[in-house]
This record gives sequence, C-alpha cells and structure tokens, in this order.
Amino acid sequence: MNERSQTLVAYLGGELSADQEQTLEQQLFAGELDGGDLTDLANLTIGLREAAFLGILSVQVSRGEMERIRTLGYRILECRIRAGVETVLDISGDFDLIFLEFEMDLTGATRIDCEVCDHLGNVIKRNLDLPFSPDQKVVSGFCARELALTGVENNPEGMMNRWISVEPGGERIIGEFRTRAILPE
Amino acid sequence: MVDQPPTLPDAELVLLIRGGGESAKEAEEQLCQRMASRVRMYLARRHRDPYAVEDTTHDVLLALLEGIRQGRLDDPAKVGSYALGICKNKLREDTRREIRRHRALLRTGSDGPVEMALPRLQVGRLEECLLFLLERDRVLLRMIFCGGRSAVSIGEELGLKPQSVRVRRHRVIDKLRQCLGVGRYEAQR
Repeated sequence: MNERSQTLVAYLGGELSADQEQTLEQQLFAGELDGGDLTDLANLTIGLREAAFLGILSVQVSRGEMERIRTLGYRILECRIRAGVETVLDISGDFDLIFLEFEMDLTGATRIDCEVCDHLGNVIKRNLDLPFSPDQKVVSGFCARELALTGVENNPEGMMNRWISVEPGGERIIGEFRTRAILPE
Repeated sequence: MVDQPPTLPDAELVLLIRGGGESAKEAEEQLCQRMASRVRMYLARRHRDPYAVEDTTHDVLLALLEGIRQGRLDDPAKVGSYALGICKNKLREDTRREIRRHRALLRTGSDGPVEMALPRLQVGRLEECLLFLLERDRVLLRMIFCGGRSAVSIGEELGLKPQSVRVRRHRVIDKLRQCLGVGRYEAQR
C-alpha cells in the first residue's frame, strides 16, 4: 500500500487525532486524495461490510458485535447449539440474520479449524486457524437468512459443523454440531 | 472500479451545472463520480452499516446537485466544503430511518448521475477472493473495515504489537486488492 492508502486505512480505523482527521477530511473534499486507490478503498470498505452482514466475510462474530448490529435495526434469530445432539432451527420466521453460538471447551487448544459438512459428515469446506482464546466457552458466528436458506436447500437433510483442535501430535475433534432447519412454507 | 481521470476542476464543473443544458448533465455525472468516493470514505468512517453509507451517499450527492442547480452555493471554489457540510448534516439524521429508506430504495432503484457515481464491488467476486485468505486474516479485515478498530485496539485483543498489526493489515489488504484486480493506480505512480 502506498502512503495515501495507509493514511486512509488509519483514518477508517480511527487512528488519527481530531486535528489530523479534520485536515484529512478537508483534503479529501478538496479532491487532494482523489484517485484509484481512494475509489478502491471506499469500494472495499463497503463490500467487506456487506460481506460481513451476509456472513461470508468470516465465520466468527462476537456477541458484542451482534448486539451492535441489532441496534441498527436488524432482526436477529439466536440459536444455541450443543455438540452431539441435533439442533432444530426454525428459520420460517421473519428475520434478517441468524446468530449461532456453539458451546465447546477449548482448554488446551492452540489452533482450531472448523469443517462445514453435509448430514453424513462429508466435508464441504474447512475454515483454517480460527482466532479464539483458550478460556472461551462459546464460539459464535452468523449468516444472513437468505444465505441460510440456500444452504438448507442444498442440504435438506441437515448439516454438521465439526470443530477440530490441531495439535503437534495430530488432530482432535472438539465437537460435532448437527443442525436441521425448518423452512418457511 | 476505474475512475475517469479528472478533466476539469470541481469549480468549473459547478459553473457548467449552473449553466444548464447538455453540458450540465455531463458535468453532473463527472462531479458525482468524483465526489462519490470522497463522500463514501467520509461516511464509512462514521457509519458501520454499509447500506446506510450507500443510502446517505445518494442523499448527499442529490442534495449537492440540488444546491448547485438552485444557486445555493455562492462560491464554486468551495464546492468541497459545501459537500462536507452536507455530509455532516446528513449524519445527524436517524440511522434507523436511513436503513428503512435504503430498503425501499433497493426495491425501487433509480437511474441518473447519482446512481452511476457508485461503482460497486461484486460480492460474489469478493467472496471468491476471501476464500483464499486465512480466517485469521478475514477476522482482521472485519475488525478494520467493519469494526473501525485501530491497530492498538486490535493488537490488545490479539496479543500483538500495533506495528505487527499494521504490517499484517497492509499485507492482507494488498492480497485482497491484488485478487480483486485493483490497485493499478499505485503501480503507476
């Protein structure tokens, strides 16, 4: 990234002082920062936020972030999912996003992966090296309702998330979380 | 994602818009295209909701054109400050109302210079590029672009020094931009 892009990213992250921010905004509207990288970064920011709202930017989102999203007016369906049992998700209601909380014990884990599987346990996709803290008891994530509906249509018999601890001696399954959805009529 | 190279200064575009006619239409398009990235960047710093940013950007650009057409901008050279002032006013409006209005706008759609001024990333293409990143990097991107988090604050959460966060931040943004095929302007400078 060039210096201008770095400054704009710092601006987005709130790293500039009030004076620096004011100066940058004056330069911005005077056209002094115009160019392809300004357009690119503006597009990237909006695109990534949209991807985050759709649940395709990353698997994980904290409860705090979810609460902030709720204050923006989004309707959220919350589900708590436990390992070893099938959780039925009723997605027939009127909402925008699904917030899922997977209960698990991460004690001793140093790296965790998550496999998204069909109902037979065949891996569809594996997410590598998810950030976590060892004292965490719940890992949460969300996705948009439309995305969930597509997932259910492709896997009508249910899906499974397999969480794996990757350790020096091999891999250990932390838990397998099965879900089956009830669709709108 | 390609900007047209600026041909006329902002102030001259304002004069053309005031003059009316066919050249005013072209000037409106150029001014909106130029202002859109500035406005979106400014709003993205304050609004976390992408739809609210887009919605408010439309509002700002419409208000800007309306102000120019109706002669409310005395000095054409001050069009940048005028646009900034409109942004600040719009931000005072209620976020919830903006989201509801955006949803209605999405259904109706519209044409004209304001619509043309907002080039969008295809979320599908972005999703493909995101698949090439580690989840750790995707989380970092979300913290930066969606959470508006500073390197210090991210570093505290991830147990990293702010400088290391900055280095990772630059790498991952570059990687993503490369995949999306953007950033060609930097190479030219």
